[in-house]
Amino acid sequence: MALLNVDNVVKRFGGVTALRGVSLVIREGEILGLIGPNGSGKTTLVNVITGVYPPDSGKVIYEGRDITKMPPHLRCRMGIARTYQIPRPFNNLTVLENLMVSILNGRRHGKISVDEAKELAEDILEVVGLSKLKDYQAKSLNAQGRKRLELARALGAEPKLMLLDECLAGLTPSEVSEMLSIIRRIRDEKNITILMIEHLMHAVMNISDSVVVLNEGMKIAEGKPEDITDDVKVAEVYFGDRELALKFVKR
Amino acid sequence: MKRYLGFIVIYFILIALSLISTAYLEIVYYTLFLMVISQSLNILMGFGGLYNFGHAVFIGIGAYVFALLVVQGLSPYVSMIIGGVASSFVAFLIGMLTLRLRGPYFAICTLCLVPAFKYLIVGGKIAGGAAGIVLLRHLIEAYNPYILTYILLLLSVIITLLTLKMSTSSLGYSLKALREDHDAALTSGVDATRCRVIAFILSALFPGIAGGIVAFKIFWVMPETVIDLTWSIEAILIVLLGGSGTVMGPILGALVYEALKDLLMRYFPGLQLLIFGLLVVILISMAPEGITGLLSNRFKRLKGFLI
Repeated sequence: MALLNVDNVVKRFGGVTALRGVSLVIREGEILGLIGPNGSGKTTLVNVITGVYPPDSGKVIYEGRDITKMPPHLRCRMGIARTYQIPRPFNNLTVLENLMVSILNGRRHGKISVDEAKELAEDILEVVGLSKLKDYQAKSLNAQGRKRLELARALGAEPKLMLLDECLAGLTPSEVSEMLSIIRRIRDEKNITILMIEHLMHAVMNISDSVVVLNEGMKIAEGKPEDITDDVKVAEVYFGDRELALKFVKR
Repeated sequence: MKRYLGFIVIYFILIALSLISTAYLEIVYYTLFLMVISQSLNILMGFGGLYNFGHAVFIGIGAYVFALLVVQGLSPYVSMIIGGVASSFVAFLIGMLTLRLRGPYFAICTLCLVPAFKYLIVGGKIAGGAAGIVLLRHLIEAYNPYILTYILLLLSVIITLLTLKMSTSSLGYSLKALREDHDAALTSGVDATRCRVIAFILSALFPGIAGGIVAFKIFWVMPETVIDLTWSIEAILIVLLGGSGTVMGPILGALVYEALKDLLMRYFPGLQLLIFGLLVVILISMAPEGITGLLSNRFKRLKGFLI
């Protein structure tokens, strides 16, 4: 069943058209990989889905409801949470307090007391492996810690749909595999649908149920990961050369 | 208990000072007035990160509502509270319009509030226009400087308890999150306008009540005396000096400011705000969390008292 429908979304910034009529479907329970070269509109699409930018035209439909004009905080409360590509922690708050913000405000299941929120926060920090750092200020975290905090804050809202914007970028190989196992665990244990933007091909091909490829604001391919790797158009975009792409795909 | 100890000590010292002589009473009165306006400003500025230059308007509204009611024969103490509520109501109206704006835009908007309110009264000939309302006849019998000072003390204690409670409440976390990163707070489910409007309403209540006290003290409300941009600026300087976003900050800030101001006025009459601003800039560049931050970094033992 479709959890989210993005229908023919167009987004312009002045003279630049970041999205030229993108449509995609995210089915409940899947991990959908969203890939594409830099500047292809991936993050803009996440911003449109979460309500940071209103689209110039097109619709975003979530659980059958048109949410195109809904403000971001209400979308969060309906179960759409995200992480930021460049982590945006609340620097002068502790790790635990960062999480309290989303638990106290963004929860899908309604408001709870501060004490209950603290307990939930500790549980989530356990899942992402930040328990030991809970009383440190967020600005003192390293890159890996920040990425995990982004994930934790998104989880705090008890989402149905999580949009992960390059949550693996900048991590070492061992950190990447830890993060991937956390993401799998989230999907399986908490039954959360995931849209994942990623540049790390082996990771995205490994974990995704299906993949969508964007280029210059348009969807150029979608399908199973193995079909995408054999797609000439996708290879062409990534290699920048048709001959090379054909050689690669044949192999 | 430990977290309250620092506050209790300070309030007791102030009460003791006020009993020494009427000259000291005057100093304590003014210190407490500065505490009340800067502590209330801190709710929106310290937690929410929004600079409000219009804080003096709330003092003015409180003073005017107080005057209009006292002239009708209402008890001055009831009038003070109604003045506070009225100023909160105005904050609600202004907030609904301006708190959708982010940081600097909101600051500029509030900067216009003081002159706008002044001209509204003078130009519109509201409540006596530029001449104002004289209250001497209505209040001279009830006047007691001790009572006025202790009302300010009570207000200050209430704001202290409120901000202590707020710093670990849902509203407090949300405001701090908005201060740190607006967009990330929105996508974490924070309703920005609602949180800020509530903070603004709370922040306007106390200067509104204090406005009534100012009017009581000088027996005369007129635009020149009860709507003074200097108060807005003093409150902002005190919050920055003491430590923005801390509970103790505005209290320490007001104490230091009042002590320093006397010295500066004696040696550099007329230049005190200028020199003071310079001092604050130097202090902030060395210790972004003001006196409170400076002290708790230097003296680890004090950390528990400086919240």
